[in-house]
This record gives sequence, C-alpha cells and structure tokens, in this order.
Amino acid sequence: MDAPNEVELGALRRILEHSRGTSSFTLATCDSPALRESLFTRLQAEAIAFRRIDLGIGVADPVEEVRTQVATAPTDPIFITGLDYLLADSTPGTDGMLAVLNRSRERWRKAFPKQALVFWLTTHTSVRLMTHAPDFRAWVSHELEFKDDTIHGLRPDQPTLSRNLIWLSNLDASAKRARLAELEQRLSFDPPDPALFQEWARAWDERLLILRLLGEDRRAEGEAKRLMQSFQNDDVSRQWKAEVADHLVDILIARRDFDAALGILREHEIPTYDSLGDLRSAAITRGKVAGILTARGNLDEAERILREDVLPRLKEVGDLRECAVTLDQMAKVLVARGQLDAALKLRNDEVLPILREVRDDRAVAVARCGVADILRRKGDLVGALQIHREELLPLFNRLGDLKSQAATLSNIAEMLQSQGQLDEAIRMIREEELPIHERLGMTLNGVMCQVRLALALKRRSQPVDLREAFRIMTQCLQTARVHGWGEARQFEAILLRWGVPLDWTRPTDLAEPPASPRS
Amino acid sequence: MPADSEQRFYEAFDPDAPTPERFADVYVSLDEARGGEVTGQIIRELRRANPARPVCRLIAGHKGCGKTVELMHMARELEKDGAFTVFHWLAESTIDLAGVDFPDLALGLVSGLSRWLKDTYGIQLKPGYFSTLGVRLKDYLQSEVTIDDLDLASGMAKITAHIKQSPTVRAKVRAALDPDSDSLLEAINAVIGEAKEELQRLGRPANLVILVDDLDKGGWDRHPTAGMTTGEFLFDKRHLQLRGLNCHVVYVLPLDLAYGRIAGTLQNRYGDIPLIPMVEVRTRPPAMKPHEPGIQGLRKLVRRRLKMADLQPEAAFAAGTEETLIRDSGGEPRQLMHLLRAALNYGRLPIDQAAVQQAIESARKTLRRPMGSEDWRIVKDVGQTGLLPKDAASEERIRTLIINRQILQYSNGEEWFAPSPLLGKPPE
Repeated sequence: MDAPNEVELGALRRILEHSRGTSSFTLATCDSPALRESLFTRLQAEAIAFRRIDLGIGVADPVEEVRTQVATAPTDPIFITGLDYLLADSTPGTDGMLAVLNRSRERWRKAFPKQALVFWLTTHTSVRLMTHAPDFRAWVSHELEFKDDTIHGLRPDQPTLSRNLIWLSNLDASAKRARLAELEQRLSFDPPDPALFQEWARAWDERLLILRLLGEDRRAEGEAKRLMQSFQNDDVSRQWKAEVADHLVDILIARRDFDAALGILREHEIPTYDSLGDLRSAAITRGKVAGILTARGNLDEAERILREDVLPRLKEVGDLRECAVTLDQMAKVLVARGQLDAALKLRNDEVLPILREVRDDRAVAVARCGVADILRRKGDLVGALQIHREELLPLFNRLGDLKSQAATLSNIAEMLQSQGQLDEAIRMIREEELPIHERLGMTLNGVMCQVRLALALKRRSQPVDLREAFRIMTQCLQTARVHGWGEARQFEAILLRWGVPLDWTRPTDLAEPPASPRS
Repeated sequence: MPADSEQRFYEAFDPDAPTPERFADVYVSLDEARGGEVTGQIIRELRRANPARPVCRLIAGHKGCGKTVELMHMARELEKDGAFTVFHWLAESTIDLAGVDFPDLALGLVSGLSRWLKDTYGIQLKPGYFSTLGVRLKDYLQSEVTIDDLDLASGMAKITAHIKQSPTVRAKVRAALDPDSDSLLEAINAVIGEAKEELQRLGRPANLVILVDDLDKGGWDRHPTAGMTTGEFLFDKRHLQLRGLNCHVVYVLPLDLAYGRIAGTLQNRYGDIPLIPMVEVRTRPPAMKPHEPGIQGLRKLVRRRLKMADLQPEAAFAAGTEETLIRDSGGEPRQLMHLLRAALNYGRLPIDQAAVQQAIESARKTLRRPMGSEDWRIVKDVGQTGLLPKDAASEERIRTLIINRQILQYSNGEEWFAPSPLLGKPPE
C-alpha cells in the first residue's frame, strides 16, 4: 500500500484506540472495494477487533439494522458498509434515506454509546451525505480518505441534486467520463465475491447508465448483452438481470426498434418481476409497454394497460408518485387522441395535486410542462410560454437540472419560431441551449438541438445561414450514423429535400448553396 | 493503548457540548473575539422584562459556532443573581425534529419540562388537560398510555417516546391535535403556571425561562400542504402559539431561515434575530489578515481545555502549530476541536507541523469535494468582497455553502462573510 494510505490507516488505528469506550463517528472514503477489503484484512491481521455490518438494499432504518446485528458485541468498533446501496439509488426513497440519516445522530449515539462507528463510503456517497445530510456530517468526528491512485475521483458539479439519475445526467461530460473510469476500477473484480455482488451489480447498472448518457448506446448495448449472460439464476441475480434488460429496452426505444423492445419487456422483464413478486417494478414495466404503444398509435390498448394493469398495482403498493406518473401517461394518450380538454383536466385535477403532495418539485415541473404542451396545442402560445419562462426555467435552474433546462429552452425556442421570432429563437438555441448540451456531452438530445438550429437557419435563409445549416445537418447525419441512431434516416431525408449531397462536408464542396431547394 | 497524556488530550477536545457539570471548567467567553456580545443583549432584555409580559426571542448560528454552549452560559448568567429559573431543553432528546410542528413540540416541551422539574426539584406536576391524552391518542399510539394522577412526567415520557419512534404516529398525532392547538397552548400554559407556583413554594424564582435548543436540526422537509418547509411553517405560521407561552422563551432558529425569504417576516414577529458568528480570527476580505483578538480568544479556549487535561502547552504543541490550527479553523470552535483531534490522530504529542498539515488537508478534501465551478465562483466573489452575491439564481447554492460551512459569517459591528480558510486556493 502506498504512503498516503499508510498514513490514513495509521490515523484509523489511533482513532480506534483513542475513542475506545466512547461514541465516535468516522467517515472513511474509499472508492475501491478491493482496497477497502485489503484494509480490513490488514486490521484483522493486526488483531484489531471490529465488527463489520453490511447494509443491503431494502434496509429502511440503518440504526435499527446495525443495532440488531451487533447486539452481541457491544464494545468493539463497528465498520458500516453498504450505505452506497441505500444512497446511490435512483428512486425517491433515496431522499427519504438521506433525511433519516440527517436526523440519526442522536439515535446512533444512544444505540452505541461506547463504540466507534466507521462509515465506509465512496466519494460519490460522501458528497451526497455532505450536501443532503449536513446535520449528520456536522457531527462526524474524523474523516479519512483511502485512495487507489488508478481511480480518478469525480468532481460532482451539482450538489443540489440528490437523486442519482438526475445527478448523473447533469454531470459535465468530463465528470461523466471520470465516473466511468472510477466504475471500471470498481468492476475489476470479476466474477464478484458473493458478499460484494450487490455492489458489483449496482456499479454495472450505473456504468450502463453513464454510457447511455454519453450517447454510447452501441457500447452500452454490447456490454449489457454480455453482462446478462453472466448472471446466475437466484432471485437477486434475476432482479439485476431485469434491470440490465431495461437498459437494453431504453436503447431499443431510442432506436425506434419497438418490436424488439416490446419483446424484452413482455417475455423477460414482466415475467421476472411477476415471479419475484415485485409488484411495483412489474407495474412500471407494464407502463413502459403502454408508452411504446402510445408512440405507435395503439392508443386503446395503451390506455387499457395503464388503467387496468398499471394503476391498480401501483395503488396496491401505495406508490403515489408512480400513480401520478401513470395518470400523466394517460393524459398523453388523451393528447394523442386530440382530447385536449380532458387531458388538461386530468393533469390539473389529478396528476399535479398528487405530485405536490409527495413534494416532488421536479415531477411537478415535468407535469406543468405537459400542461404547457396542451396549451400550445390549443393555440395558447402566450400561456405556454409563460409556464416555460416563469415557472420551469427558474425551477430547473434552482434544482441545477441542466438537462431539463435545455429541454425547456428548446420548447421556448420552438414557440418563438411559431410566433415569427426567428432571430431570438436562433440566438436562444445557439447561445443558451447548445452550450448546455456541449457541456453535458453531445448525445442524441444535443444532436437534435443542432438539427433544430440548422432548420431555423434554413428557414431564415440568409446565404451565410444556409452554409451553416448544411454543415450542421451533414455533421448530424454523420454522428447519427456512427451511433446507429434511427434518426439518421430523417436527417438524410432533410438533406435530400434541401438538395444537399449526403457526403457534403465542407463549404468548398459547393460553390454556392442550392438557392432553391426542392421543397 | 496510547499514552495517557494523549488520551487526556483527546478527551479534552471533545467537539460535543460539555455536560453541565463540566461547563464551568471549559467555558470561555468569546464575545469580544466574535466582535460583540450576542446572548448579552437577550439576557439584558429578559432582566428588564416584566414577568407578566413574557419575552419570546429567536437566536441562530452556524453549525458548530457554539449555540448550545452560549445557551448554557445564558442559563448560568440568568440564574446566578437568583431572579430566574432556567430550563434549557435539548429538544432532540425528546422529539424527532423531522417536520416538527407545534403539537409534537408542545407535547415534547411538557414532557421535558415536567421531567426536569421532577429530577431537579422533586416537583411533580398535575396532569390536568394531559390526563386524558393517552386515551385520546390511543388509536394512534398503538397502545393506551395511562397518565397517572400524580405523575405527568412519566406519562408524557411514554407518549413522546411513542411519537418519536414512528413518523406515521407523529403525523397522525399532529393531525389529531392540530385543531386543538389553542387548547393545547392553554394546557401548556397551565403546566407552566403550576410549575411557577411550585417553584415559588420551594423558594425558587418563579420567573421561568425556557431555552428551546436543537430546533435548527430539523425543518428542512416540505410541509405537506403549506407550500413551504416545515421550519418556515413552524416559525411563521405557528408564531402565535410559539409566542403564546406564559414564560420567557428563546428558540434556536435554523440558520437558513435567518437568511431566507421569510427572514423579514420573522423579524417582525419575534424582533431582531441575533446570529452567533464565527470568532474573528482574521480580518474582512479581501485582506483576511490574522486578527489577534480572535486568535487570543480561541487560544484561551484551547488552554482552558489543556489545563483540564493537565497538560502544559509546550507538551501539547510544537512551535506555531496551535496558532495554525486556530487560524485554519476559521474561528469555528467545533471545527477547531475536530482539527485538534485529527492532528493527534496523525501524530503524537507534542503535535508537530506534519500532523497539523495532514489534519488540515483531510478537512480541506472534505470541504472541497462537493464543490463545482459555480460554487467556486461564489466563493471567489465572497473572498473579494466579504459580501454574499445578491442574484436570485445563486440563492440556493449560497445557502448550501453556508450550511456546509464553506462560507463563514462574521460580525464586528457589521456582518461580513469569508470563505473557510480550510478550502485553500480556488482551482485554476
């Protein structure tokens, strides 16, 4: 072990000595499970007594869980691992767990008045604990950092975001890459030790998510398929296999390969969740089927699934938030049928009150975005613009949710174009929206933003605009082809309509841009 | 086992608030070093106040700035001339502060007060309104709690233990008692009235002061219906109840409310909100030069604790290390305690420069880890001007930076801010 880690290990030994017989809290940050395990082995070899408690998924009350497990060894220091599972989850429950931890200090002290507690965390989790459980963090007596030099810790840029998915979505592209490198190190122990299986699987899950957020769908798809082969047949492995399958489904949906996506959902995911008795996941997966059917125009069947299969199950498990999301999906079906007033009523009277009740600001914003969409369809551009500008932009800004900010800017620019404010729309896309995508990593969303810029420039039709529009559009086509996105065909069609050769890459390829496109 | 002197050092620099028994041994007034007295003005106001017209005040401060210690000091000051009886209630020991609202605060207060009177003065209060509480809440508590005619303290302890244990029970009890808030206030005042009479009967001052500590540890959750945080709801919408107790009360306010959007409303309702600032160990930005009176104040605090551990300064610190730790603490007493203990973990007594640098580096990493480019922009700005940026877009980040003590607040006649010295230089 290198010198800095030896220094930290020495400090840990002294903490355990000094605080023997008293209550103390230590946070030990270590991104590499392999390094952490080797530290434990060293301490055991030195006959330093400690109890290790691993908190698995589903633990609702960490204090109670540890108390139950250590009842027989009341004075040895306690090493607590597994908080990463509880806090790195991308579900609303994570927020609740952070709130529980934030207020748990007195309970820890009362339950373990004579023990040193050492919480083993990753960088990722320690940051979230600091930003979302400051009362707990304020009373930590000691902090240590064990570092594997081959792992480059991430620098999260959005401390106000508590949920993993949103947090990851909003990392700079470079931070996403850094996190990816860190996860690669964590995944180096393959096949995993059974004790570390959950940690290994979660790291894989996050890795696939980041690859997708970086637009590397093909790589994610290949890795997901290989990974699925390596799972065993026990319940935990089957649960994770279904999670990985869900990544595949999302990739297929993005590629518009709806048949393949439906196949995985119906033949693999739903039966798995049903057999595991996981009502919530089974319901959400059925909701995904309904989403695909809506996109295909099979509206009656989509509505039936949402009303008969999804909503009752979610009500049964008491997941109010997901109930509201399902109702919002039903509103989308109504919008697709042209029943705008009914959709508006559903969103205003049912979806929004529930989301406000469960205090999910971001989901409220998404539902309000749906309301704005209906207003726009009804011709009330002023009302729709007002929601986007006065509610959504400030809220996403406050939440630090750059991805949603970009989506809102995109909607505003589109409405400005409808109002004839082409110059302002172009400025907004070029100066406000596009830089966000460049910062987050140019994925399909970023490329679509470029396409919208090209279309707007083409519409303005100044010679300099046309050159830029053709250049951007050709570039977008190349990117889409590299990533294998279904949008490539749309981009080809646009270029053909404009009379631009598909391999047109430099302005010099055309003496002049075609003055009168075919359509 | 570590050397005995090291163990004594470690125990002396416990960052937890001292027990009442040890308070006199460790307390050092930091008023001058903070740039003026904070609790002194409340003490004077209480001394001037007519007991029949109770005073209700708020006090706030950074985590680790010494609020609890200052409240302990306030209690001693008020009691020393025999005019007041002071109950310092650590609310977190009785109630769960998540989403705390007046009904659970009220029950917790009655429980804490009755227990304290019983343990300290042998006073057993009559249950009155609370005698039927166990029966009324039977369905929510999942068992019936009987409050004996003669023992309010034990009965209330059982009820508050039930309430503390389960968020669901808490929510149901709140909902059940909410319409009853006025009766509840009357009932608490009856308990307070009886407490005063009993104190007088024992020859103790009947002029009761309650210091409600720990309320800064909750209040972050969204209120289920009010469209604000539960902290905002409690201090704003429940102000009539909070101010309606029939004795003097001082509540500890969450720091973000003292800076947040309802700060003005709270000032109108409760008067000026004194903030316990950091000890001024440096001057205002951009100079941020060492400020000797502040360094002296914290040195006094360190020396007092060394004396308690029976250690001479030269046995504890190599040349210059004590001052480095004091300066890098930014004037935050609890952070200083953490740094002292961390330095001991990285070395031996006397603490040398290498151990100090390790301790500082460890704290620096923790503080810097969650910071992004926007945070650094704000920190740089504060480091230049000593003021918080005023743009609405930064408000949430600024609040987080203050709560996490990456930006510290000082006061020497005027309020100013500075980045924690532990942050070090901003990245390029």
